Amino acid sequence: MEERKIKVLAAAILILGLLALAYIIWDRGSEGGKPANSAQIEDSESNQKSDSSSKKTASDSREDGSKITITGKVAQVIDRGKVSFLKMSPASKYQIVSFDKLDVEEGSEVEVTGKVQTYKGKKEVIIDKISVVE
Amino acid sequence: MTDVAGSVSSAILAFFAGSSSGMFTGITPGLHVNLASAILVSSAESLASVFSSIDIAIFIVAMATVHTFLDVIPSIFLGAPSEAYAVSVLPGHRLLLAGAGYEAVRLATAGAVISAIVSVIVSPLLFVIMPSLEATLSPRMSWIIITVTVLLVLREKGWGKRLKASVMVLLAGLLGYIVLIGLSMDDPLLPLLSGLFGASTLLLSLGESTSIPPQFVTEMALIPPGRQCVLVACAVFSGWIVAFLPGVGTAQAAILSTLLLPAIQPTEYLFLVGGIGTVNFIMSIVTTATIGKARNGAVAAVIELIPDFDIQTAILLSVSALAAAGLGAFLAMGIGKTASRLLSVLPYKASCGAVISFVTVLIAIRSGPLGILVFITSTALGIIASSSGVARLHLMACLMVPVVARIH
Repeated sequence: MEERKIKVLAAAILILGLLALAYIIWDRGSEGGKPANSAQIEDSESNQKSDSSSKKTASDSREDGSKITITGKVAQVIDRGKVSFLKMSPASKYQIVSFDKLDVEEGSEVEVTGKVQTYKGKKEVIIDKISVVE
Repeated sequence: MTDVAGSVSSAILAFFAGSSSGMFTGITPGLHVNLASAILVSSAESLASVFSSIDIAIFIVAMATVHTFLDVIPSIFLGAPSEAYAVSVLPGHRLLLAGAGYEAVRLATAGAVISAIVSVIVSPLLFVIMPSLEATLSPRMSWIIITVTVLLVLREKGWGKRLKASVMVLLAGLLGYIVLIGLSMDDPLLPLLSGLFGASTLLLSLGESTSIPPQFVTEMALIPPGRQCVLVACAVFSGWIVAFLPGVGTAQAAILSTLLLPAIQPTEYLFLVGGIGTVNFIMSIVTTATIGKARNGAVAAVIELIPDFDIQTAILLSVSALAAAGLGAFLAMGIGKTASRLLSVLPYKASCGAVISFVTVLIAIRSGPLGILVFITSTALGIIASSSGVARLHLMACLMVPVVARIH
């Protein structure tokens, strides 16, 4: 293949790739930032259930050690052996982590209670209790 | 809205910063992309105040992809031995000795660009077949690795060479076992691989009357489109195998491809090898999302940052890799041209000496005195392998033996 053809192909995938990258980041950011799309979060300490106006969004920052309850639909359970991750739909801004096997089915509505902690600069929730909401 | 625009800007910034770093790691002999990734992950906590985990992951992916395009340059322009060793070195060196080093870079770049596009196109298929294939092959992994090693030994012509190759496999395997399992040091792969494959070649060049002929920027070596399709298919298949099997390097994948393509020409081999390196990295991203195991140091670093690495993350990072492949192609051809012009001006032996000194200092900093000892031992083994006239890829047993040992 001649140099000119390689350059044309390279320019095409560079531009398309960057546009796709920008679109995916934009899409993720839009979903995470919209209160209406976020998984519902309650503050367990105050026991005050959030409504659409007081719902915590990506901009809030809870302190490490504070308790939190998140409700939503299970999108995916990622099993990494010693640790599992719970993906919620709509996406939660927290990484939801369990050190026990997660026995929940994808698509089921769950209520997760756990403690907030920071790991490598990222806020995550360590699950204390998970229950399926009927 | 401003937050989202900021996220896009920082992702694009991370992409270009990562690509620039990949340019640096790619053209620096001995500086492996895994090392740069490990340093980034160790400083992720302090970087977290400025960049998100996903930005740092984009940085690493862009860096590793561009690295796969540029590492061909020091291999061709700095690792060239004399004619006496020409039979046991990569075809890129042969083109360099014929004054066509840039041709080698162009062919590898063409293979990498086309294979990157095809691997992204076929990756959805892997999402479907990988989990069941992994369940089938995982219990047999050690036997697959042993079979690959034996096939490569049997590929040598004549029983004398096969015996020498077997001795090389045993020695490299023993060295790899001691270094990776027995000893405790930082970055053990840096002195091990730099000695076996880098410094040994350069030292042989210094000892010989190597002279590099004047280099020309030409486009003489062209591969017919039909043959390119066959080579890309082989590159995608082999690159995926490398991404899937632990302990198997791109060199083994390329040689296995030549088992499928017995009449392969040196120029075609370069096209194939260029493709395999890039495909391997892109496929590693997909493999990690589907089976949860990273077979590549840079992807392992990404998992450290994003433990819940899922399919959406894999799509985002594959797209970043594709864009970085486009940028990597421009950089490889641009720097390849500059390198071929510089080579006619720079004294070759002094350049080799400078490269060896740089790698030695890097090892002393990263791995300490024990690393220097490993570097000296592995360099000696690399020289013995080159002198014995068998392919140095048998020395990749230094990675395969520890993997088999860990499985059992």
